[in-house]
Amino acid sequence: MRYVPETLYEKITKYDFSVVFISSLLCIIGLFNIYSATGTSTVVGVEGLFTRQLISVGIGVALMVVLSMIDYRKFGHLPYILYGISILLLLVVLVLGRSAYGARRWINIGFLNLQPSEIAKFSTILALARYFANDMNIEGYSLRDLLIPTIMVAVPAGLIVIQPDLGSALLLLISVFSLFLFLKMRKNSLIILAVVASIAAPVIYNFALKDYQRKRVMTFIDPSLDPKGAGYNSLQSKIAVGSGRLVGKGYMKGTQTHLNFLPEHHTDFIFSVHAEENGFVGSLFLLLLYALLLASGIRIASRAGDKFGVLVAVGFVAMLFWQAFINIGMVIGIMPVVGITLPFMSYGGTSVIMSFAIVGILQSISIRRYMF
Amino acid sequence: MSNRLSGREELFVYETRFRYLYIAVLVFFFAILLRLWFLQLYKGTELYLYAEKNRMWEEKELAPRGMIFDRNGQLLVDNKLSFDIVIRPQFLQDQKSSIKKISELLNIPEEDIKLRILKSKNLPMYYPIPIAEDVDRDKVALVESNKLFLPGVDVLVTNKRTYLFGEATAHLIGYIGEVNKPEMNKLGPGYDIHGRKLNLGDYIGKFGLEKVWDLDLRGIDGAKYMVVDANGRMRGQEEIEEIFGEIPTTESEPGNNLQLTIDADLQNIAYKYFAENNRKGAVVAIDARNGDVLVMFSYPGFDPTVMSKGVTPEVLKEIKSNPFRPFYNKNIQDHYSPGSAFKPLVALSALEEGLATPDLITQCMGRLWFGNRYFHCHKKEGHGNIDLHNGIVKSCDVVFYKLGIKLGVDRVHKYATMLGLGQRSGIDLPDENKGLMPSTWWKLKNVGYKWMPGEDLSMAIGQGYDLVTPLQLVNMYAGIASGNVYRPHVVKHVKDVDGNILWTSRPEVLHKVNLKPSTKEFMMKALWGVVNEQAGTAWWYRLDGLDMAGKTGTVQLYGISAGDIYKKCENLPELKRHHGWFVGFAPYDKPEIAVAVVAEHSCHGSSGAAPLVRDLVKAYHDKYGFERER
Repeated sequence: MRYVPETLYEKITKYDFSVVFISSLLCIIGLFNIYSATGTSTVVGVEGLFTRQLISVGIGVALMVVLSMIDYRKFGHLPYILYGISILLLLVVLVLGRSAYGARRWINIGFLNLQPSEIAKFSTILALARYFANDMNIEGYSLRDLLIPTIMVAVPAGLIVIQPDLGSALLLLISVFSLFLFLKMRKNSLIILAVVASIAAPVIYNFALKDYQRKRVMTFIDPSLDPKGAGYNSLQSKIAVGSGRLVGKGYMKGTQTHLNFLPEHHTDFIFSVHAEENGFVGSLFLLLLYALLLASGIRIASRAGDKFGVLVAVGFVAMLFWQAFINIGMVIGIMPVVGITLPFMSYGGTSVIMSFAIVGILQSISIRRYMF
Repeated sequence: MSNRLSGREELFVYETRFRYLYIAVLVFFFAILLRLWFLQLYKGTELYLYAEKNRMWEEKELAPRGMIFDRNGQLLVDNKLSFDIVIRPQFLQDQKSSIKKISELLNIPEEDIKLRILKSKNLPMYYPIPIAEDVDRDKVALVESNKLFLPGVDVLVTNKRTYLFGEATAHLIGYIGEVNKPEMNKLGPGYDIHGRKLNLGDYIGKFGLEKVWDLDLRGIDGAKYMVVDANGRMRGQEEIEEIFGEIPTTESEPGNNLQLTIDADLQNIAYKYFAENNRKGAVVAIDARNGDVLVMFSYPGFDPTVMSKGVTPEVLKEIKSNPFRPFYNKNIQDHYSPGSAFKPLVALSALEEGLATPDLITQCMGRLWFGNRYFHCHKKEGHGNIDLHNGIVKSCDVVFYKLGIKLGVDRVHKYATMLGLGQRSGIDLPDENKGLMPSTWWKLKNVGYKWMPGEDLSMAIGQGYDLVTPLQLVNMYAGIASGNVYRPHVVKHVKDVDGNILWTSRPEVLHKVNLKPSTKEFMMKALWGVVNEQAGTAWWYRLDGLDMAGKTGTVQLYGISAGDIYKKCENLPELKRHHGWFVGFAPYDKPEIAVAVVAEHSCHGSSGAAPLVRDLVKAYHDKYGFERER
């Protein structure tokens, strides 16, 4: 029989504390690193960043608790509504994008700069999970079956691409594709997809893209061609990580960070700050935390009480997985440099809040799991 | 919620798939672990030494700031090369003797150099500190030829922002300057597009268009990378390439260019008029058909090229203490009483409300008794029996006193609001003043007293609480004449460096002005009459065949009785003289250009302000012609 927790006590006893513990630990380590990265910087406006991040973390944790207490099975059409809102926000940011009073990729709501792409990633996963939850398919999905879900992800991804934020868009696409694979696609469909992609790519590249877009694609493949210095970032980041050696240079003592050799160190390159100052030991610890977080997420997914829960958990885990993988990968030079934040650690209000929101939903799923 | 799929059995199909997810996490873990081992343990010491001993040094290549053109492609703002001599303290071998040498060579006092270094002591050691800006080529050659003996001293090539029209476009285009801490905090970390982060030492727009369009105008700085050792000597490129492969250099990307709606020739006419007559004030001209700003000039001003280079606090203080306020764009940042230029609005309100007809005859005896005192007409002996048309043409105060009594402030407020008074127009320039259009409600709330009936009289002749900016006034006249109040704008296109249009401003109607046809016809005839009838207050400034229409205004600043206005003005100290207004447009039946001029302390609207309106309308017609002639 399905077990439905009724009381707060029962809810708390079924909390998956490993996820909460790991994500909080990551976040605390992140705060220490942000403090180190921004403490002595000459880059503009970093003075208040630590405090702002602290506020965002507070909001994130509160959101996590609230979401975990809400029964995700009662969401109903909420995922679709949320999805619609995030599309709207993406449009708003595009419209405001070029006006006399400054081009902006975020919406300022006082204490934080709302980044609609972060919300879109979150809500697209939810909406797709809702879509597939009511969709029985045992043989595997054909390309035609996936038409509507593909459109559902293509709309926000497209809007994010023209911001332009190629990294976030690709992250969304790859996460959703992982979800498709989890749901099982037909072998024929996968083959067709591979063939079509390998034929279409050069055609699109040569005929449909404009010059500057081609340049952007080339840059994505080979960062040393990047005219905006992604190659330089990658280089300095590698030096930073490597120079940490076994135990690191010590907290607040990273020369790469503190001499500003390393750009974007409090956002996308926060991992290299950590690696430079804490060395191989510290990096390994962090890596272990991420692996455990992902494993706990998968465990929650595998124990979920219904299909919607499974898919939500798998979708979010896939997103966290790719985000961590691509971010750390680019810091250590095995992935191209794209602007993707490291969940729980990078500076960025919306990013942190949405990461905790994911944990909250995972908790909600965990609480309502089956008992064995 | 009913869910047919909620049975646990149906989830069994997924059981095996979770295994793949765990495997993916393991792959992730070991791939990164391997790489970390390679970087931190295998290559660790090498990279550690590299980070310690060697400094990869980023040499900024400043992106040229976007250029600014007028509506016809005439260049207004350019970047010229300028050479700064800088020192990098990290690379000075022996600070004391080096400073001495530099001081002797370049003839700069040692104290100055030390002070500059002291000021920058919070910056990283490798940051270049300028010790002499914008030096001539001889000094550049001197430094270059002595470079071997002067480690740490360098010449930095920068772009010097040059404003080709100088003071003529000062308030409009503004100027740039080095970003300071308060600005950084205010703009915040979000002040960037595509990675254009602000750094200390960066230049940003501080005023006018340079400020509003800063994000577009600023380009993306490029960088060259070189590896230098602790003494500032460059290391062989091969050494690094061995480890990291080719070192990227990044080209700077120039900022976007702006094409304005301004006409540089007309702007220059305005500048000359004010500068040559030493008139203080402002002029704004707009295209009545779409809100394009053709001219916007304010005087006195400043030299933006000098301001962009940076001025000493003393100079700044001197400019700021000037009683004529050179740092204000008087067209939008100052407000004035409109004086008689307000009367057409009162006439219009009365006609629309049905409280007056064109054939209404008023008896003007030179003054009107109301409440407990006389209200004077500017013509002491009075205008006798006068109709509404002549009331406007001759600017008879008594006519409008009586209309003011009939209407009351709130009815006028309604039409003023429709025509854009008391509100910001939303022009794409910073710090616009709202002006003020009073109402009974406003007074009770803000002054704390009830509106007095006597105040209806001063309101009706544009004195009292009414305050307008020149821009509001020109917009109002254009609105009456064309039927639309547009949002004025000064930027037509944003273009990239290759000339591709990235953004275009479109005409935006703020208010539709729906007047009775009879009102409109009357208003146009009356305003035409001001200029083209012999009795009109601006008869001397008519333009044959161009059908200019308009209205004069004279604003008394101090409580002089109305009867004495003209007698005494020229004898007053300059700061106490009356302001003159003229707002005109042409052609009167299908307006294309509308101009407002406020001439501060010029005593009369007709002689102080109208000549410039006439000159601008004529120059516009000479250059572009009127549509009706085609």
